[in-house]
Amino acid sequence: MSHGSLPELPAKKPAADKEGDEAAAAAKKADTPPAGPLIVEDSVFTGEEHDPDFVKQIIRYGGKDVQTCLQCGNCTGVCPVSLKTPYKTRNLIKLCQYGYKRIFFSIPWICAGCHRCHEHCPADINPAEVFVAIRHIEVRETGVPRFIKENVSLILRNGFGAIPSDDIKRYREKEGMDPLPNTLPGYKKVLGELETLFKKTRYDKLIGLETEEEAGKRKAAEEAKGAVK
Amino acid sequence: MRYALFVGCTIPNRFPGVENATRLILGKEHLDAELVPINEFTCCPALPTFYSTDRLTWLVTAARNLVLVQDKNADLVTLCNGCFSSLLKATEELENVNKCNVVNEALSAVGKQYRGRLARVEGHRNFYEPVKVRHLIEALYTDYGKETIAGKVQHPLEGLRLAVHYGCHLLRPTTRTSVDDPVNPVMLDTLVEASGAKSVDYNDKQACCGAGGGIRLQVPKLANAITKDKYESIHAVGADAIVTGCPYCLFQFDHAQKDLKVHPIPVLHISQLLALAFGIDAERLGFEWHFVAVRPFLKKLQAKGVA
Repeated sequence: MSHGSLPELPAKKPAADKEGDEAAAAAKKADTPPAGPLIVEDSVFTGEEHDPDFVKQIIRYGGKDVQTCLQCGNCTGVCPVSLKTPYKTRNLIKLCQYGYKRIFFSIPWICAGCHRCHEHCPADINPAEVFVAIRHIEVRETGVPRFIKENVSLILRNGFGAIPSDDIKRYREKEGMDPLPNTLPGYKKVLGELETLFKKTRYDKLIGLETEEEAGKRKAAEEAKGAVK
Repeated sequence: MRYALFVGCTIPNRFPGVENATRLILGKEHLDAELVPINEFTCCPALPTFYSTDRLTWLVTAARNLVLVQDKNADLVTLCNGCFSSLLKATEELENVNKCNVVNEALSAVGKQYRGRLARVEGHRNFYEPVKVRHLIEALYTDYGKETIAGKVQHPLEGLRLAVHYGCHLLRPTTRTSVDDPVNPVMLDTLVEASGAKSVDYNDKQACCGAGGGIRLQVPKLANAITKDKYESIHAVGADAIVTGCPYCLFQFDHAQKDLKVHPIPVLHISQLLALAFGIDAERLGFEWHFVAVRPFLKKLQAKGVA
């Protein structure tokens, strides 16, 4: 893992607007085949997806050299996600070896980071860290998942990733608990420090932060849809 | 004992009873620790968010939190496995001089410098100075021990069968950070037994709760499917409650049981369990924010003359 220099950011693609997102979702829906057996023809690896630099890229973003994987499958046997989904750790590492990068961009970030795979890996690969490296590549090449953008934006505005409800505020007061630090007047300075640091590491540009106004609009839209969080 | 509590995001804003229980059990009347207040902490920051997207930003943000305790002559004690894992990992990575220099270059923009260094190695654990990142479970186990804690118990929870859940990020990665044996950990079991209750063994005890790494946020169905296996093992041994040291595991066990519509088993943070055993009023422990009602468990305690 090298922190010696900051990785170069690729030119940012313009963020898709909300309408664009909806249109994309509609298109995706239309493309989805009806439930039934897997269409093998569409799932064949032709080699076009192959990226010969993928292994090097994984190392650059802090993963280990996946070429030393023995394909023993220990990782898969202990992975809680492999047990419940078609995504098997061993196969995913094989895909890394062959450079099938783009496949990963269509899989949600479902590694729990439990590190059981690392415990049982005779080649000391640590698949969990390989997936972290792939996430680094994904956010630089295709964009940031919405839940990351929302979480980082909230932390920058609020210092923490959660906001208390009114009854929790009342409970804290009644119990004589310390006030939440981000309600104290001095906390503005802390938020200023976070902003400075995120600018310094160019994290603000990488994530494409959401403003308070945008977050408010999103929340209102979610509430209108009856989404329960 | 001088502790700077790092309560994080989930506990103060979702499970305030855990924060209150921790402050109460560490208070003068009970374990009598000196609590050093620090009001400039931020999110640890969360590994699935920050560590997944930019290792440098994660390390700089974590180092900023660590700098706040380095002159306080106090141990940083987390009540959450996520905060623990993120901050401890940061102290390890900052041992690398090159990384530390890059981080300090960024921190100088906000007038801060990180000075943590490896102080000693015991077994496979590294100890750092002056910043010591600890978890409440390990601090209670090491600094007080079973006998001292048992000595503070006013209402022994005798006859109760409890299933402990350590949670992945307390024990792994084990390379250097492990606080306890990752395969057969004892600390949480010991604390539960100090309360007078029995810690019951169950199948695949070290399995993941299902929520970690953003799974809960993105694919709740998958999170619940993972929890279901663990729940069934716990249900099979007839546990009265689940006890954990992590608010996110607590959240997941709580919510998954509601989503899966299963026979409810209450979930408690270890601080809340010890608070009950120490004779602290259950009404003060914030159980109203747990999704699985804790009342049936409290009734069992009352039937035994506790709470």
